[in-house]
Amino acid sequence: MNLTNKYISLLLILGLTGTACKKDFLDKKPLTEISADVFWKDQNLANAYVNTIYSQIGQGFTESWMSSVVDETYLTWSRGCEPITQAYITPSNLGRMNGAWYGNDYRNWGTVWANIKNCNVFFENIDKTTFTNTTLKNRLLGEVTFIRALEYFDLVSRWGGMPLITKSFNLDNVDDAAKMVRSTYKENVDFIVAECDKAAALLPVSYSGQDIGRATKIAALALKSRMLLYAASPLMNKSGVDPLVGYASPDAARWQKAADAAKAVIDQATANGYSLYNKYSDVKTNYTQLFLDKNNSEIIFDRQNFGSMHYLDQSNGPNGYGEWGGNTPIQEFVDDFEMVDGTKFDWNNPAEKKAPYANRDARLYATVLCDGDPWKGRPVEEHFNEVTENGTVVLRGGKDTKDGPSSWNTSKTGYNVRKFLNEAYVVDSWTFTGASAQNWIWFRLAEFYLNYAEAEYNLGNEGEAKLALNKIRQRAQMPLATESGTALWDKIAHERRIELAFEEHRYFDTRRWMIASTVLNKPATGIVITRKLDGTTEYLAHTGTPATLVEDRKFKEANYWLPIPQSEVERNAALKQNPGY
Amino acid sequence: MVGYGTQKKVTVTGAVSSIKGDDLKTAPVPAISNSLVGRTPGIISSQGSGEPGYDDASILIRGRSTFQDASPLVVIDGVADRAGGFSRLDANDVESISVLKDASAAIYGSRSANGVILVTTKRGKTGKPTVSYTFNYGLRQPTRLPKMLDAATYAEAYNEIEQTIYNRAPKYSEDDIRKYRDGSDPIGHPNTNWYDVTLRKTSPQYQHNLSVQGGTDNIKYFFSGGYQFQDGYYKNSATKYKQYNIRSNIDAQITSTFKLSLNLAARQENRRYPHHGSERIFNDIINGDPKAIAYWPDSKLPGLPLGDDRNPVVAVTDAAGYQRDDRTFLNGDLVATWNLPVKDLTLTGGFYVDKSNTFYKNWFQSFTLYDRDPATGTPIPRIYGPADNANLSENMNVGLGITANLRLNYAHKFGDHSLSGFVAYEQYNYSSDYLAAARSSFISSQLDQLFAGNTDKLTSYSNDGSGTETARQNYFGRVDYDFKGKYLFQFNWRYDGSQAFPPGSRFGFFPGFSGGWRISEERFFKEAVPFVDNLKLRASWGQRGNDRVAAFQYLASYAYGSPAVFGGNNPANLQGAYSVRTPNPNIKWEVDNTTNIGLESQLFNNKVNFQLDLFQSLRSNILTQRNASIPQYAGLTLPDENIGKVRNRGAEVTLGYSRSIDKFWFNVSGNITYTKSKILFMDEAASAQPWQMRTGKPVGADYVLYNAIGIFRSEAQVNSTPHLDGTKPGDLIFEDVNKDGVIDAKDKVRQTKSTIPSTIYGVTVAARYKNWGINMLLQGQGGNVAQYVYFASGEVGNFLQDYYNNHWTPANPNASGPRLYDRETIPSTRETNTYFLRNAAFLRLKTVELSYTLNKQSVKKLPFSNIRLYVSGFNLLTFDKLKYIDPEGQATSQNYAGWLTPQARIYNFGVNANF
Repeated sequence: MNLTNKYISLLLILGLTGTACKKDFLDKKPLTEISADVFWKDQNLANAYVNTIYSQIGQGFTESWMSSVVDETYLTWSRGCEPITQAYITPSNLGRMNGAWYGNDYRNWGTVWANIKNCNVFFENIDKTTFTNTTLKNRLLGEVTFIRALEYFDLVSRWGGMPLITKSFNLDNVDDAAKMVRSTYKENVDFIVAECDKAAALLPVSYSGQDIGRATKIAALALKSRMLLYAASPLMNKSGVDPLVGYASPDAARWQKAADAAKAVIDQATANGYSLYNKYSDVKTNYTQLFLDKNNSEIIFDRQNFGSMHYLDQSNGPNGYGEWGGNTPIQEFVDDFEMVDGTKFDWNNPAEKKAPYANRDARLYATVLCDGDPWKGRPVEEHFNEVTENGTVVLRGGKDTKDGPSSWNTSKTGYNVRKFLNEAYVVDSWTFTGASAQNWIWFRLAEFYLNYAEAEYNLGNEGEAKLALNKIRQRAQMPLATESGTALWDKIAHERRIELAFEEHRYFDTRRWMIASTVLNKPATGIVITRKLDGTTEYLAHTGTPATLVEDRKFKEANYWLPIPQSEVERNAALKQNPGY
Repeated sequence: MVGYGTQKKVTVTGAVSSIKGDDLKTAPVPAISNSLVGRTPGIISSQGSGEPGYDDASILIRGRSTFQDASPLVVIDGVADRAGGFSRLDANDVESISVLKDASAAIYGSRSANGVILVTTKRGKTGKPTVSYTFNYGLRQPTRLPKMLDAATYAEAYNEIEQTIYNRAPKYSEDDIRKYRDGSDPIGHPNTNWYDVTLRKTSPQYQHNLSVQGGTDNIKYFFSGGYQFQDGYYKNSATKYKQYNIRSNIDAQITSTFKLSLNLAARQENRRYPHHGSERIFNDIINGDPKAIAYWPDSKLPGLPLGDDRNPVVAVTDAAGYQRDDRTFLNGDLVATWNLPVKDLTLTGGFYVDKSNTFYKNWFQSFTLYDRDPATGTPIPRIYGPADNANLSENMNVGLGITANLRLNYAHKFGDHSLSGFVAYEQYNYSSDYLAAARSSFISSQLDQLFAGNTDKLTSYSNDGSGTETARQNYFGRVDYDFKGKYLFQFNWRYDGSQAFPPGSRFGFFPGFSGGWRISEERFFKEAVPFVDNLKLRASWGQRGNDRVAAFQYLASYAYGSPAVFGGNNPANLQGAYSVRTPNPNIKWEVDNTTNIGLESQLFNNKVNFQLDLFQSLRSNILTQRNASIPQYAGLTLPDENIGKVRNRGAEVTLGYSRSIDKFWFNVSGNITYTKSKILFMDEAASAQPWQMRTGKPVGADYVLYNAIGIFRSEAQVNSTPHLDGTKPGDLIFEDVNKDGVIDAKDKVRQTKSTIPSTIYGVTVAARYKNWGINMLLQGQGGNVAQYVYFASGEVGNFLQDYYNNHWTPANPNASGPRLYDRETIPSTRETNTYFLRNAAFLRLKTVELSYTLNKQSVKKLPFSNIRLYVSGFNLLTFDKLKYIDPEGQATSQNYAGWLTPQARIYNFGVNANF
């Protein structure tokens, strides 16, 4: 063996053993993660952790709105509304109510619980963080306390009493979690209310700059008001109710707590610069901008967005504009808008039948796109024209009917939604988000006048109730309510339906008032509009024939509450299913 | 080939089978992963898609014994998990492929449990250089496209849906339907066959390869260069695949005791696709509305989209932009062998560098489709595409893997005993870096480069980047002993360490034992059965590991992500952070206890060849999440835990016969593999229905479906039978499995059928007569294999002709199929059920090649030493019951049928000349 040979071999051996002797050769760390012990020391990272908790809060602008499972809208394409509207919901098929798809609503059972865990992990670790000022720490504590209460409210309002979990689990103690039982509805309400009080004490009344959108004291009070209003309602206070979904002892006095909580929101809000949005004297413009002018004086809490959370405009605009005509108002909803003089609209009134969209509560024009409404530079064309072709009279639909482009995106009701939509939106078939940056509003001031009106009415204080109700009617430039007794109640219920349309109130209102078995247990219908050769226009509604039928809807007693998902009941047999499933 | 060495087939004691590179070449396909199935037992493989560049087959060895990644380890020229993998190697460069199926794989330690594929590339040979040139030209077409309804019938179906499902008035008048049918109004009432307007009858592919092989006693070399091209199925296709590859394998005997080998290989894969993905495109052309316009008959301009912005005839082109997916792979090996001055000892050291570079670019630009003024006929241009006019995103990933090993070999013969073996050390590290950037709102689509994007940094720029690191360190070795070549024994082992697991439990020991008895070498046997040329009984046992799970699951850590928006009318996205997982401090690799008993024999002067293998693999510590039993309300982000247990048993049989009669030679060889896995333990929900449990079922039995046991023929029958809400006559009858009088989720049944076949077989027929040759592979699968063949039809989505022709109506109450559906709106389609689960067993003529060879002996003037001309085909014939789509795909209930690019049928012409 020659010298070269030796060198080569030596080099080879040295080269190998040299690297091999490095002790930490296998001691790699993930380059994209920060270890837990370091993470919680840093206040900036703790702050970022709370940001993520915000990013998991529910929102309603998925392809299927919650309004499409109640008597507000109908969804043009199948996105899981039918199990609810046709009452075939089962523990293994909750449709869009257990996490609506195509646009994340963050309301899936697992997603909500995961965020509750995020909150619990925060509480367990935040004392390790070194803060340069305690204000930030208190604020973060208040924010997370509020969000955990909000997530609990989201579960409790849909499913009733939940297991109350205030610590995080790991592999060692997860078996304890698997044995938990549901706490009662009362225990859940008490927990949420107490957490709201705790949060309210820690949070500021408002923010500025890049903190706008964080939870405030008013938001915590608002959540408390809504919880107590629900808790006082008939569904939760009927005799013989399962304590998981109501109070063992019905008590009308709960309305007092609801009234106080609503009053607290109104008082605290108005004392701190919040007010009913009234920027434009024109009702339609004002009511339109209320939902587009972000964080205006009326907004108490919303999920902030900037163009990636949803594609609201693309999903819901009429097909004639290249949009998808998704959630479409049904005739029963349109009919409920009063005449501008405060009387009810009536199809049996020949003048009203001839021009059904004239002289209505102006909020109709800001809530629903009806045939002929101006929209993006032309009137909406939901009608059919009689035309003569080759000597015979045939019907040719307008641009926004099934004869327009992409007929599968045509509204089957003859209406499209207007509320929330941004008229400046340009069709964007790439991301579909385009200019759709609307925030999802959880709480706005108007609700609390109506919460207050409802609670005071139920306490027998009609004067107070009317005063609060008329705040809202006045802003809508509608005649003030003067009724009393059940007629007043009808006005209050009506006002919630109109003012808070599509904002995810109707689902809960029809349930807690126990009216779902009538109003949600009947067909949803639409309108057929024909422009005759003689120049007249015919509006066909409520024909009782297939021509105007949109969906035959059903509601069963059990549907007042959602079933607990089957897979979850299978994981823990002690987790009691809701009645009727 | 065996792990870290070569062995003669007669002395191999493990279950190892091999395929010659020449056999791979008979299949005219660019991805050689498609050429293995059927050629050797134990390989279970299928091709899911026929899209150029993404048409590699998925491969399992002896089925699936884990819920984790079950793909085998691929070792190329002695190095595991190399950059670029083996599927896109030039078939002309491959010497052989061996498959280690039992304890023989244990030498690859914690990566060996799914079996190992060893690929050996060609090397130089002593002798006159051989220059070889090969050219193939092929024509591709989809094996199968489902037959859908024409416009008139689809309009009738639409009306029927309106009436029967929604109780609404029909949408199309008699007059409309007549016009759709008779073609009298091609503008207002078109009848578009989307296949005809979008797809070519055949699309070309071709391949060139030039190689030189030769050498002297001191220097041997193999050089090769190749080019391949494959076109998409589409007319004006933006889809294209191109590949360039070169290789140089040199062996140099530097001194009498010192040898150096240098292998260098480079490959460039260029993929091009339209902006719209092939899933969308195929879904559009299969389910697309035949009443829509492809091109306006008068202006010849493309019509409006079927959905979103897609008119398929435009979507397949680069009008809306394109996707570029370019990948570069470099493999460099330097291997030294030194015969030590100590007797019987040699030292081998290798240094291997694998470099990969991937580049992806997605350009999306505005494009025009046309509406038409009904009064004047004037085309009305409509702009589609991005709202920001044009945008571009790019990303790059660079990876570098370095393997180094050192091996001390010993070989000694004393008398009838021979002993050999080695001990070795190997280490591997890999790092990769990812970089992405995008710009939006290009003012013009003239320049498709990043710099040309909008200059507003706040709204138009975005970027991203991250890195990874992995490392392995291990010690391994082998001992071979044999006595008179009669009694054979082998022990191999690996002490394997991986960075994926927590400190203290990173290393594991994986042993493999095997032994063989060549009965035919015994004198008594030779005398008793002289016609048996070789008979060997062999047995093996070993422990193999599988560590293909996400690394670092033992760590409690946090990552950035899920930012939140704040700021009202001046919104900003603020950084978020989240807990990555609930850590599992006890995580380790899966262990596979594998046993194999084999018998192999050659008889009658090697005319008959027989082999039988029985195997069992008992996999424990399978990593899986307890997502069935841990309630979601506990809020855990579940890590993998070592809890699963699977038993997988099976058998392989090969039987071959070959014969030479004068100038006629032929060989027929068949092989069949049967595997059956059974889950012995996995996480189950505490109170799940027994018939829904995974335990006891095969791995991959993922279909949990209602059993469809008939069709409701009348209202009375519906009322008297348990049914789902909304059920009407014409719906499927679902079995009330628990007999509680209610159809609900408890009645769903876990099916034994899965997308993984339990039986797979192949028959090769090769024959030569004078200058003629034929090589044929018949391949099939059977057993419990199924696909969920459901098309998303209805008011949006055309129907299968077969479904429509056989659907239930009041007038056709005895129909063989259920009523019409509107996607998932009626119970029969809302709930997944066995009606749509179709048997995917098939037998197909996978490859066939017919060749004619001219050589110098026959044609003196030939400028070549020989030239071979051949025609060949791929997937020419298929026999199956699936009918609508290719049975080799893997449609599951999650994926609608018809989303994947159909597999290809290829007709090929080729020439191979040797100088």
